[in-house]
Amino acid sequence: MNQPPALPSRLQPAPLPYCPGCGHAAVHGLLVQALAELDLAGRSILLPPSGCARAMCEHLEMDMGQAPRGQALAVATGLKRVLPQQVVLAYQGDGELIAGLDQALLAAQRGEGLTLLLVNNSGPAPYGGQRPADASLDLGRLLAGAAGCVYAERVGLAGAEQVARAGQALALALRAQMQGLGFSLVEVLAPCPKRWRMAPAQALAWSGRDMSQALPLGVLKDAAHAEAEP
Amino acid sequence: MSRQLISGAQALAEAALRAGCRYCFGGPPGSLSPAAEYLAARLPGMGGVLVPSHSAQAAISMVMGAAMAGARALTFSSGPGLSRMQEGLSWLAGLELPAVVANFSQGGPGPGNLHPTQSDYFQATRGGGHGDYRTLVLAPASCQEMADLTVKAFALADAYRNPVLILADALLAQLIEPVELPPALAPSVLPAKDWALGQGLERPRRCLALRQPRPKLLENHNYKLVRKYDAITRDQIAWQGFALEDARLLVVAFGSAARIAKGAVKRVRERGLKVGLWRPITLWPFPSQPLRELTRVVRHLLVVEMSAGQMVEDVRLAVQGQATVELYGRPGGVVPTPDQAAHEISHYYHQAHLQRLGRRRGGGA
Repeated sequence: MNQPPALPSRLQPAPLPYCPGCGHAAVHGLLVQALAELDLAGRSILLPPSGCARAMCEHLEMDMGQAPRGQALAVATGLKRVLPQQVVLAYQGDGELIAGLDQALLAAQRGEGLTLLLVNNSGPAPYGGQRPADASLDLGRLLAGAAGCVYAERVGLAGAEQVARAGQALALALRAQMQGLGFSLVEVLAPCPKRWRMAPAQALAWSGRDMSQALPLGVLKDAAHAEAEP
Repeated sequence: MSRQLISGAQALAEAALRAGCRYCFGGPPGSLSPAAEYLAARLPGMGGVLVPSHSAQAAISMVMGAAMAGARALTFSSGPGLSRMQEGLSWLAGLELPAVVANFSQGGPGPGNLHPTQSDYFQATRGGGHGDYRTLVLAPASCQEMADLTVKAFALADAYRNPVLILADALLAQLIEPVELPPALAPSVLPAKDWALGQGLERPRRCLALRQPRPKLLENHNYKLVRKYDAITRDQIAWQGFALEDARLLVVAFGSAARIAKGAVKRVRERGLKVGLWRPITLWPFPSQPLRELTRVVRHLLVVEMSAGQMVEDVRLAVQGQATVELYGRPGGVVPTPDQAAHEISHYYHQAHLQRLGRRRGGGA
């Protein structure tokens, strides 16, 4: 009988507390995989988000520092300035990113050697599902426009092809940081079935179809020429 | 030791460097620009950096990150900046992260003005952030003390893993005095922090987070903080007395106001009034016990503050009704002169019939 595939060493074997069909679980998997591939787990620091996915504190076996809502990119700046050899990664939802948009935008503008993993599920989930007027704001493109941003890509989770590309994008972004090129970001369009009041499959389809119509997938900026790297 | 003629703000900056601080974050207001420029010029050569931030909130968040990484980090601002930092101070206290924050307070509330005041006493000693927490508050009254207390602030912050505030004002920032600078410490000789992030590959992960703990767990965490605050209150209070020996009236003042009050006390002493000065150096913990002990012999206190009356509440709490406590408070950026303060002291002294009491007692003893 086949053994189930071994967990990457940095993922704790505890059940994730997310709703069925939630995008966070998939993004956690991609993150762990990318860190393992690049052999980064032991020399990286993660800033967990303030929404549902702060549960990742208990699931990822790596150093973590919690930041006040919206302040992750400023806290990450402090960490990175002291520890330039560490890979510093901020995992943020779109709601909290907007709450501290100045911090994110200026960290990108300064070209801080940070990677932002922006999980965009169209509004702050912990607050019961209000859909804010800013839900259609193109955060990825906004941050990609900052002078110090060297790599930005928007990816989706709808289908194996998109998931595979998401993993590649994350690795490219992290590589840009490891090479000391500047700020990098990956925006993931992720489903939130509960708040969207959809079945998991329907939410995934909606994120792949309707959401990516408003926010098209693809490389938003590649000043690092990451794609050209072997 | 080296002696230099420098401003209060520069004393803070130089002492921070000598305390092993290599990271400063912030976009300080005009009166503090010289200190920021000084640090911006010095830090890169020492392996550190000053990161200018667009807001005080960004600055305190960057300090938080540097603290998580185990570094000694500093930010400084004036009253309004401190208002924006309150959330960060609550987080630093909650996650038990050391940091030093200097407030050169200015007139408020709201838009206020740029003049020196002490009206951030409540903000500093009570804190404007959420939750059960305390911030150590040190109040220098000279450029020398600015340097000494800055070194002490970094040591206390590390020892207790708690933010430490230095509460000063625009007057102390710009005042120029000779300062005996403390010896320089290299960051490498500072105590190791076995909780800091990112400093080792082969060890269990470190997580500086409070992930919505259940009430019982958060209660335990808060009680742990309370025990720490109790230890600080027991071990770290600091104050200074002047002309206390035969005093019948005690002037209580901190920081700039204490300098002015000292001049006033000297003036009234020349006129034969038996007045002393008591100056808290730690505002939190407030040196309540030593002040209460003084009220066994002195029954009249006059608090001199550059505010509408804030520390006066701590003085009343400390003396527990054992002495009458009056206030001479000047808010809004008005700096009283020693003559004005002497007039108030003299007025209170005679109103309380301390002169007569003195003659009667003097005759008996």
